[in-house]
Amino acid sequence: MAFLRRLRCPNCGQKATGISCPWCSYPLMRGRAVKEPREQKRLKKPVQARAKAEPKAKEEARAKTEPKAKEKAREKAKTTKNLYTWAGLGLLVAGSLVFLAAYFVLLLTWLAALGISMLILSFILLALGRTIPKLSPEVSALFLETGINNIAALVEELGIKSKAIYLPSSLTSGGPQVLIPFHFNPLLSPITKAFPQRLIVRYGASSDDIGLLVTTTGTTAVGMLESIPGPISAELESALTFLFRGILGVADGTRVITSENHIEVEIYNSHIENKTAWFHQCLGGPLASVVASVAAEAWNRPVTINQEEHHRGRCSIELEVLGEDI
Amino acid sequence: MKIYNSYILIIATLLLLTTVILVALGQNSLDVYYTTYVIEALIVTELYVYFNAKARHGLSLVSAILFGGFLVIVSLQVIKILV
Repeated sequence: MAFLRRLRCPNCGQKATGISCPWCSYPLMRGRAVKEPREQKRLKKPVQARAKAEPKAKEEARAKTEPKAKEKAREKAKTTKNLYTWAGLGLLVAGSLVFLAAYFVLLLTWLAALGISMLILSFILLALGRTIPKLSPEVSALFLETGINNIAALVEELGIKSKAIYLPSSLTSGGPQVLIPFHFNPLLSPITKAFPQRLIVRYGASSDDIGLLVTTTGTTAVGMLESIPGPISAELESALTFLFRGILGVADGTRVITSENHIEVEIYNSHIENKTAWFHQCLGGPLASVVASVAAEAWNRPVTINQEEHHRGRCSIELEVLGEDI
Repeated sequence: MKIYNSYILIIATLLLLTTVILVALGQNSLDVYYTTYVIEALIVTELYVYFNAKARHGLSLVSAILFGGFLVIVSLQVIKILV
């Protein structure tokens, strides 16, 4: 019974018995030398041809890629030296030439003075050029949008409508974070210990007291402060202006008014557009998120965003400082 | 980077205006020009308190260099008076 012998199918390579292969229905030929599977054959041919053509192709590829790599490296070097540095170098050369020509050849004092002023400006530009971050704003926006979109997807998918609670670092195991309760509960039990570093946390005794503990833009922004401000409005104002004007460059200034457990913050000439997505209703906009995180850290108490309004570049944010118990 | 741009623009405008005013006043001493520039640059730098730590460090280095130049001018003047 020859057809009962186990043979290798010449088409698919599977071991099979019978007249045809049970896997691919290819007829199993008896008494002949087992053919190489088609796939194997197909692979073998190009290998032999490739072995011949490989040195040639390698050389061609190298000839093609080498100039490209050199170009890339040149472009990288260009971009790493930012505009401030280039402007500084230009002024340094031009200022030196103007000064030397005016002082030694033309004997013009005012032109020599102009050369000196160009040199002073070039020193300032070179000093500032060294402090520009190497990451472009586009790359930063890429990271920011990815993170925000993930949080937005989470909040929208879970259908959360309650307001987020911004917690200071003393109530979390890392930096300041945001607690988004799944259900709004006006009678919440006090927090006795810091939350663990987890996404879903229990914040009360009730079975419904569960929420998301997430990181927002405010959390990262607090880390950029040189020191944590105190609860006095002047200190908070100074910290927010330093952050928005000096570090982030998104606004011209801030004004803070505190009354009991309410904080009113006005941000002038903000350049961040106002969006009204679902998760913004819950977490607040990026500016409000930063303000709430800084305020929570300054007061060392949980904070919620009561109101957020944008009108002609002016952003008004009203925060409520919650008690020891949320 | 808005703060950097405004800082540079203010300094550049001030230096240019100073040059125009001093030329109009008929000032012919390079020391006066330099001293005025340095004083202006130092004042504007001090007024920009919201710079980040890295920028402030870089600018304080520039200020030190400019102040060094000012000290050289002062010492040359002192030597001139004494001699």
